[in-house]
Parts: sequence; C-alpha cells; structure tokens
Amino acid sequence: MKKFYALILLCVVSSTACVDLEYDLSKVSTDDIAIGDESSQFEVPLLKVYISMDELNGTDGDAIDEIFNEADIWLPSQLDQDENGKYVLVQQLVENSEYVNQVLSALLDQMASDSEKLNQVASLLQEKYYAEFSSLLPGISAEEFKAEFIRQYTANETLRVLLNEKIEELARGYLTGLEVSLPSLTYSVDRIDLSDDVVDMLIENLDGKEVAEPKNTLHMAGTIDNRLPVSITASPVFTPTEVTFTTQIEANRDGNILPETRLFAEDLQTIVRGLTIEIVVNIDKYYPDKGFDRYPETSQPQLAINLHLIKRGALKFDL
Amino acid sequence: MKKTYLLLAALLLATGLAAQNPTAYFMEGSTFRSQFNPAFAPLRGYINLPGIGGMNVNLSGNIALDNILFARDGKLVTLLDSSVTPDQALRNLKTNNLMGLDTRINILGFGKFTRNHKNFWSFDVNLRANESMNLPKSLFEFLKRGQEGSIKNFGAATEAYLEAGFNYSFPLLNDRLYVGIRGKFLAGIARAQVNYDQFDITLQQDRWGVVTQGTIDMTVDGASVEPDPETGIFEFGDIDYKPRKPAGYGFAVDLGATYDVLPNLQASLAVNDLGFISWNKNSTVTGVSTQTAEFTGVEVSGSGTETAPDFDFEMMKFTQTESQNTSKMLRASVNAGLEYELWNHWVGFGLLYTARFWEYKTMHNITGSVNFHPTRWFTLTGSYSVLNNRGSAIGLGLNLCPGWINFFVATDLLLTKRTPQWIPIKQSSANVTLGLGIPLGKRSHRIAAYIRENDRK
Repeated sequence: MKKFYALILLCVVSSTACVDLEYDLSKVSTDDIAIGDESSQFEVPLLKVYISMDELNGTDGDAIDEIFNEADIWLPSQLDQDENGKYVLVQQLVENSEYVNQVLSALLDQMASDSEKLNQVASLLQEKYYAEFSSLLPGISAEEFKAEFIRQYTANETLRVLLNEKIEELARGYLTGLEVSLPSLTYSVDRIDLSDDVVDMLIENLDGKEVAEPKNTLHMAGTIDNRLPVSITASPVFTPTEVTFTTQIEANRDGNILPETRLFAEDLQTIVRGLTIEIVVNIDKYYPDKGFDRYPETSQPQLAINLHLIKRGALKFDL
Repeated sequence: MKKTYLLLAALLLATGLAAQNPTAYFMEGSTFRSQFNPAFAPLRGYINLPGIGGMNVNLSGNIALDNILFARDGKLVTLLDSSVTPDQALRNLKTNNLMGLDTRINILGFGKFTRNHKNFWSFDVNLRANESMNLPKSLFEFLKRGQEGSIKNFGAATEAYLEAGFNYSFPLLNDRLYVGIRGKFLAGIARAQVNYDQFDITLQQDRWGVVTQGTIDMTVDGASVEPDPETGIFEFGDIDYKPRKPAGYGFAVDLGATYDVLPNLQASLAVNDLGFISWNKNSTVTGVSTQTAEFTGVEVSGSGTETAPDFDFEMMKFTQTESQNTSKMLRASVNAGLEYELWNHWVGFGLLYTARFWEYKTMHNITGSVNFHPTRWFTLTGSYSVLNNRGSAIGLGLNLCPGWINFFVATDLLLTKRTPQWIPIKQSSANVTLGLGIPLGKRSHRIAAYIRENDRK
C-alpha cells in the first residue's frame, strides 16, 4: 500500500512540476500580429496616369507637337548634344538672349550652306509669314514667293543681309515665345480599389513623423515612361493631401525613376477615398531630331506615370 | 483576411486539447481496452458510469505547441507576432503541418462474460468527434516573410457522430486464438470540411493578386444559407443550422484477433472504424471558392477612371453549389501488438504499432511498454512512443479493478512539459484515457494466472 501512495505522490508531484507557467494559454496575446518583419519590404501598385498627346497643349490650345513643328524649322542642326541626341534648352531660349543669338546665328549659317534648310525656311515663310516680306520682296505673289525667296537669298548678297535680319526677327519671336510651362494637367480619381483591410495592413504600424530613425514607413514611388522628345520637370500634387514631389524626366525614355515620397497613415487613407492629381509640366530640353510620335495614339500614351507604394517593415493587422 | 486567421486560430486552439492512447493498449483489465481491439476483454463484466465510463482524447500531429506559441516578455504570443522572427517561426515547421484530434466519450456502456467466462459481449454508446487539419509551411512563409507563392492543400475537416456498438469476442483453436467483432450503428451529428487546392498570392510592384480554388461543405440538421442577393456569395458565418435530429447515418465494424504464439507471447491485430456515414444532402450546404482578384493600380486618363471591386485577400467567400448525398469513410486505424509476459504474469513487455488514417495523412506510431500487474486488480504501465519517426512521448497508465470499482487512467502528459491547461508544449501528441465503472457479473478465464480457485467450478 505504501508503494501505491508513493505512486500517487509521484503523480501529483510530476503533474505540478512539469507545468510551464510561461505557457498559460489564457494569456495568449494576439495584439501584435504582423506579416513579415522589420527587414520586409512590400510594394503595392497604386496609380497609373496615362497622358495622351491631345492633353499636352499650350495655352492657346495648340498641341505640343504642333508647337515644336515650327520650332524645328527655326532651329539649326548644329546644337549641343547628349546621349539622347542634339537638343535645345527651351528655358534658355525664353530667358537668355545670348543663347538665342547663338542659335539664330547657327541657323543663318546653315541656311547659307544647306539648301535643304533654306528650302524648309522658305516653305515656312511662304506658308505663314509671306506678308512680312512684302517690302523686301515686293510684287511677288504668294505662289511665287518660295522660289523667288530662294533665288534672291542665294544670288543677292545685299538682300540676303536684309532677309536674314527679318528671318532672325521672326525666329526670335517664335523661339522666345515658346511655352516653357504647359497648362497644368488635372485628373480626378474617384477612389483607389483597395479594401479597408488592406489599407489597415499598410498603415496601422507606421512610425510617426517624430521618430528619428523610422523603420515602419510608407512611401510613394514609381516611374514615368516618356515618349516625348522633350525632357520635362513634372510636379504632381495629390490633393486633398499635401503630398507632392518634383522630378526630372528624360526625353524618349521609359522608366524614369520618381523620387520616393513619404506618406503617413492619413495620407493613404485620404488618397484611397479619392483624389485629384494636378501635374505641372515644365519643358527643359527639346530634341528636334527625335520628333513627336503621335500615332498610334491609342496604344501608347506620351507620358505614363506608374505609381506604387513601398511599405517598409511588417504589414500589421489585428487577429 | 482577418476572418481567415480567426478560423485558423480557432482551429489551432480547438486542436490544442489532445487519439487512441497507446499507453492504455496493454493495460490489462481496463474496460476501455476492447475499443483498441474487439478481441480484448476486461477481467470482469461491468457497467460504466454514464458520461465518465470511458473517455479518450488523442491529439497527434507533427508540430508541437512551442512551434506555434512563443513566450515573449511575460506574454505568450503566436508565431504570427511581430516579435517572432521569420526564422524563429519557420525553423521547426514542416512542409505540411498536420494536426488531428480524436475524442471519444462513452455515454453508456456495459459488458458481460457468458457462462464459459471466455466469450464476452458488450454494448456501448459513444460520442465521437474528430478533427484534422493541414497548414502548409508555404502559408506561414507568406505570413511571416510576405513571400508570395502558391499555397496548396490547405484545409480542415471535422466530424461528430454518435456510435452505438455491440461487441462480441470468443475463443478458437483451443483458446489460443480470440476473435472479436464490433458492429456499430452511427448517427452523424455534424461535419464540415474546408479545403483549398489552390491559394496563389502575387505581391509584385505592379500587381497584387490572389487566386483561390476551394470548397466548403457542412452537414448538420437544418443547415441553410442565404447568400448575398447581389453577389450570390456567402461566408462561413452565414451558414445557419438548427440541429434536431441526425444529419446522416452509417455503419462500421471493428475487427480484431489475439493469438498466443507461445504460452507467454501474445500477438494482437485489429482494424477499427471500417465504415462510413452517409450524410443527408438536405442538411448539407456546399460552396466553392473560385476567387480571382487582382489589383494593378487605378488607371487614370483623360477619359476618366475605371473602378473595380475593392481588392482584398479575403478567400473565405463561397458561391453556393448544389449539395449531394455524401458518404464519408471513417478514419480507420490499425493496431498491431506483441506482448511477452514474465514471472507468472507479473511483468509484461509490449510493442505496439498503430496507424491512423487522417484526412490529410496517415499517422504512424510505435510504442514500447512495460506493464506491471503484480495482482489481478492492479496494472501499472509505462510506455515510450515514437511518432512518425520523430518526436517521442512517455506515458503512464494505471488500472484499478478491485471487486467494487473499475478505474483506469493513462496519459503521456504526466512527465512532459505542459501548459497549466494540460497541453503538451514540446510533444506533438497528447493522450488521455480515463474511465470509471462498476464491476458486475462473471470474471474472465482468459488469463490462467488470474483465475480464482472458486471460479473454476
């Protein structure tokens, strides 16, 4: 019987001794459930803004390609060059007379030696500026203008000087009047099709502005595909938030990287409920040899802005 | 998404309780022993105390509690907690993490030896509840690392039923062979199964997507569902039921035999739960989840924007399909034992192999045991089990059957580290067998060492 009691005692002792109070199932905490960890990074698609040629107009409604069609004729072949080709600095044309003088000097030099350039300029003058030459080339009908202009420009050195002055005046007027800033583009987005649960996962554990070295952050980032022969500076503003950024976009290049812009919880919550994107576009460089490619307009937009979110740190959610 | 995890958590916790208990297999005299092999019989007729006459809870799987819960700063957190690194969480997980729960509660039971003290019959009514689930590692890789991929074979199944069984065992070949059979009438109470053959997640910069291919079916009396009238979709919680009668009926048999290879060496073999329940289609709600959702960002152009349904990872949404009569096989098990007795039946050494066919995988178990029975009314058993070539468990069992009471208890939880709620922490299996009854009627003459002089008449 003593053995029996000893056995019972052993059972009682062991039943007590093997209990690990750290594993009390009544104290299971599910407050801090997360997907991933501090080193995780999640990227979420957000917005794709497609800008067509028809939307890129000057103040008077002229399409951007039409604006630069005439500029192409006034611009000489001899221009500065980078990896994308020969370019002209549009901002400098508008603001820097010295720069314009250099460009026009090169134009006149080319007209004197390049019959094709002379022919292009003559065609433009005949088409658009015939009346401006009534005093220099009197009695010439509009139909006869181009041939007579070329003949006199080539044979009459004295008259050529006068014609060059007029050409320089017309070219300067056009080139310095180019619109550096296009009227801003505005797009309304009714909502972003992300569920509240997904949004909560992204924002619930974000570090605040006051955190010196934040680990749980949310950024807007992306790329811009640019088919235009102009490099631009774009500044989208995402209202009603204060989120904005400014970025340089190279001409004729896909995947121009946009700077990462930090978002906070309220920014994303606001954005998913609907936003207006206002994009200010400033033209920096124009590459005349690249040309505008209007068609096929439907298949490829001139500018495609691809925005996505970058969540650094774990995705948080409540169980 | 949250509901999915709630379901997972509920299943994990529900499974956190505790299969056939190998420690109890060689526990001579136990009235529960014939549940392992219908050729076995206790040492005397009996009547069980209703509700506590025989209870067996078995948890088996290939992951332990400490693979799921972690102690952190005085708190207990799940492997999904941010304080648990992906490496810590994923280190001990298997490709397929299986858990199975098998509960049997005896509601009514009695048995009696016939006039020859060797033929034995019994009748019992049991409540049976089974649950099994498979959580693939790829699911946790997604949850912990945010790692996209294809998650397959993810699901859970549960069923509960009443069984009323009549057992009869008898000797052959001059008592060297005992054959037992139990016929069981089954009344299905409820069953449910959720399975996902496909759960693909894409988390790319330009596309978040989820593709699911899953099924749900639930059978319980009065089951009905009213899908959303606009979408035709229903969720798990939308299923309503009013159980008043069984939702299915079935039949099963247990077949067993013992054979004395040598005077002190007995081999035993049993195949249990060979049968099925046919579940009524009128009590069944069936649905399929064939969700294909993606979010590639909102497209904005001069012609405006196009909106789409909100993207979510929610996969527990189903479209109702026509229910059909479903016959489900029970989870059969095989028990094969060998026991050698020494010193006039004072000590026995046993070796047991069990295999149980769960919904997702067959679980194997090999147990060695030492069984002391210095007197006919007292048996003490110690066992050591190897589970699926991994993990192990040490079990202790006690059977007391003096003339006025039958009491047996066996568990492998006594010597293992466990929670205050008696859940093993490092052990991936848990077994508790417990019962109380009253001895009645004739005593067994199957074991020569136990035959009393006055019974020989």
